[in-house]
Amino acid sequence: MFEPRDAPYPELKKTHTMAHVGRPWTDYKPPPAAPVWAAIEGLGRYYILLAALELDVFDTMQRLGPSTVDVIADALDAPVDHVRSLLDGVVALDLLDQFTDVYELNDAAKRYLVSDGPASMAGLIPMAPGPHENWTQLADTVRSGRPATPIEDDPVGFYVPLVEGTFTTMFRCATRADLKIRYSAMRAPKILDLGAGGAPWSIAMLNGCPDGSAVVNDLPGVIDVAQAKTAEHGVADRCEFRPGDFHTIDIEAGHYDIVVLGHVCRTEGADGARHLIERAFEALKPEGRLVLADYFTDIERKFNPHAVIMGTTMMASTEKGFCFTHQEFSEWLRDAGFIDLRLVEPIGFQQSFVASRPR
Amino acid sequence: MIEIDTLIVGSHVVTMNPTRDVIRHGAVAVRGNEIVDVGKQSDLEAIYAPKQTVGSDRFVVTPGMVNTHIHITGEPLTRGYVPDDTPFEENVFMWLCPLYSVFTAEEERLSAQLAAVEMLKSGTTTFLEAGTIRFLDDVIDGLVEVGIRGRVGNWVWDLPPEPDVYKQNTDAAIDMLQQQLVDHASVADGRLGTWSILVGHTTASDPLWKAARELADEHGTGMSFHMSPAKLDPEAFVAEFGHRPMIHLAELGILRDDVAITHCVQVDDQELAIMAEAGVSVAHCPTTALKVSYGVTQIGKMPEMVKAGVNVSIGTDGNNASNYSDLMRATYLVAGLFKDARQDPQMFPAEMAYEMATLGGAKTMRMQDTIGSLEVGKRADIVLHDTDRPEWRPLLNVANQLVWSADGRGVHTVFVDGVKVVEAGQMTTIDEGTFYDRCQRAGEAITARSGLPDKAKWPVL
Repeated sequence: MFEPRDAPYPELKKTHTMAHVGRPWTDYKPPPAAPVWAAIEGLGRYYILLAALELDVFDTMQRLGPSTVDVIADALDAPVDHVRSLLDGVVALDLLDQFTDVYELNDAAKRYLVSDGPASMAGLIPMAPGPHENWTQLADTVRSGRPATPIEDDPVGFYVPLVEGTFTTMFRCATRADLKIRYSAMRAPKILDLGAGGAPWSIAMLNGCPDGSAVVNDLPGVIDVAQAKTAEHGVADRCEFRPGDFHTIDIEAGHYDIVVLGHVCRTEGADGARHLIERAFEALKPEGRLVLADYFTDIERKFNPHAVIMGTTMMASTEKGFCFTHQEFSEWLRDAGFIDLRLVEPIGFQQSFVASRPR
Repeated sequence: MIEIDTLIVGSHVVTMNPTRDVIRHGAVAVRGNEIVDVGKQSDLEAIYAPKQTVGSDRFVVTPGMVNTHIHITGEPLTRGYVPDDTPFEENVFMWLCPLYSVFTAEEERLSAQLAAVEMLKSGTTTFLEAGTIRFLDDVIDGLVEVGIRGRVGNWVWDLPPEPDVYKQNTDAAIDMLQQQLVDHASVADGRLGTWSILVGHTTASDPLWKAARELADEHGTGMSFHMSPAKLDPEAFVAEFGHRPMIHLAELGILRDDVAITHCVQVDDQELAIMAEAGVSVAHCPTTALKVSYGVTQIGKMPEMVKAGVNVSIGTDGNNASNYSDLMRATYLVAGLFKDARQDPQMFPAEMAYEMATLGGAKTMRMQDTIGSLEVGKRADIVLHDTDRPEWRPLLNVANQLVWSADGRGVHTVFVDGVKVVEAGQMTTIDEGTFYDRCQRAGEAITARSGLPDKAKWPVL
């Protein structure tokens, strides 16, 4: 007869093991406070990084190369002790290397934090959390169902720097998406880019399709960024800029080969997202394809913290915004009539549904 | 003349009886769900007056094969979605668990039907399920409609803390197990029933292992679970208990001759001896071992198991570890893997591989008295292979060609329990015209809902 007995390696015991389940379990240990401290430090961590960007620490250090704190402080024109404290904080974030008094950009900083890094997020970081003051009033937002300062009050003021800041990442995503969905194989595609921001998807597709053309939409003011970016990338002459609200602007039915909804659905709430999907369906030719990029939470809304926190961010910053699950989006797409759904991930954390209008 | 329902005739009747007789111009007489005679066609035609005669010299007649490990839910509708260059743990925890978690009841029913259709159309008439993920009632309902024989059961575990949708605690797992053994002990005249099926590996506490054992005893069923495909299981058991899985299970009193253990690639000699002494069966899934790189050709002890008296049968496993449910393809691999690994052509000759796919499977499922061979008194689970196909001609050595030449595509007609469920390569029990479209749509819906990206390396235009 088998009798439960102590494991030979007590340090490996967990509250639930193959030998035992349930309570009481004699070597129960209290959980660590690390998650609480991580939350407390979150505020400081973000502002350490933000301050470093505002002070031009990363670009300065790229110019200087490995340097002592004295040299860096001198270049930043700030007191040595304060600069050292800030730099040590950035080192603690694993975004700088430090040996004795010499500080140096690490690979992450070179890639993501210097302004001309290959995947620079320097412009994104100040904007990504939404209006900062809204976070200090989050409880009120939850209680009232509305943020104190929703982005919708001044969308141009918020979205212009946001879409400028996110352009590099989104353009990388859109460019690499060709490896998955091969838009460059299409002959003279007509593209409709709703809520295009800086138009990274349109630019990537037009670069890949020399005979393609695009209708680029965003709010008046925000669309200026798209005009500037398309001109910068040499495709503006193949774009028609159509300013206005993507829920109400005129769209030709059955006209487009590709419709892009790039990171816009999560600002619109469930009804708004469904409406955009339905508009996209109407706009597409038979066999035309929708590319719907966003942050999607998993079915249990807990296994993808990045998307979950993004959902909370939307709640904190907008009147209607939330993140939705893959299941919700796939059902909405099917309800609208789309078939052949695929979920592609051109770069990490950037997922896009690709769906077709039936023949 | 004696009245019977069906006389099945063929150029060769592969009986798989104790002397392994192959009858030229043979026939099988069927009344109801039972085989009443096997012999020369001319002899049986002189004795019996059949309501129908099926077959001709164009066909090789064999017993239905027995697939002793197949995931009929969670996998068929996501076939091949998991990249084949995914390490084992990533394969299970990052891909399979999320896919399993988003199935609806209707999709699990459809998934089970797809698996059953593929098995039947490739000559497998009986299967042992790896574990229904969530909706057993719907799955059984779907299987009744298709007409296959099998033993099923819920996916029972109590240690993994997630995902929520099919998380179980010990009490709930035991309750579920008990309930299914009571509610579905015998369905469709015994064609379908439930077993004491655990996920296995390191997912069950000792109390659950023991409860599953006791419930199998109480209800007279077998037990089935996964164990030791990769090093993860033995390493975890050694860390937890100081010894390897088979030793621990033997100490718990789990291992008996009604136990079917899947994989068993990473077992040492001491474990092998314990398994042989207990009389367990092993469900060897060769394609999974290859695709998920278990190392079966390097460290697998299947030849030693057979030599020690362990009954080794064959499974096709899930459609992301092994994309097909055609047991003839898996049997082909069984015949070949160890020939090459040991540089010894006497490893698993075709005849032995085919025994493993029929009689071995029947023994694993504790049905050796009713299926696995064409003998008087056994159930009429019969397959007709069409030899008017290039891979079957010339037909000079039927056993060799069943394993090395043919595959399930040559299966023409299939009987289960005396009922013709496949005729001329088409299902008689369901409408295949709409079936595959439903499967396609369901597969796309499941993968889209799962949140797992399409990792196919070639662009889709």
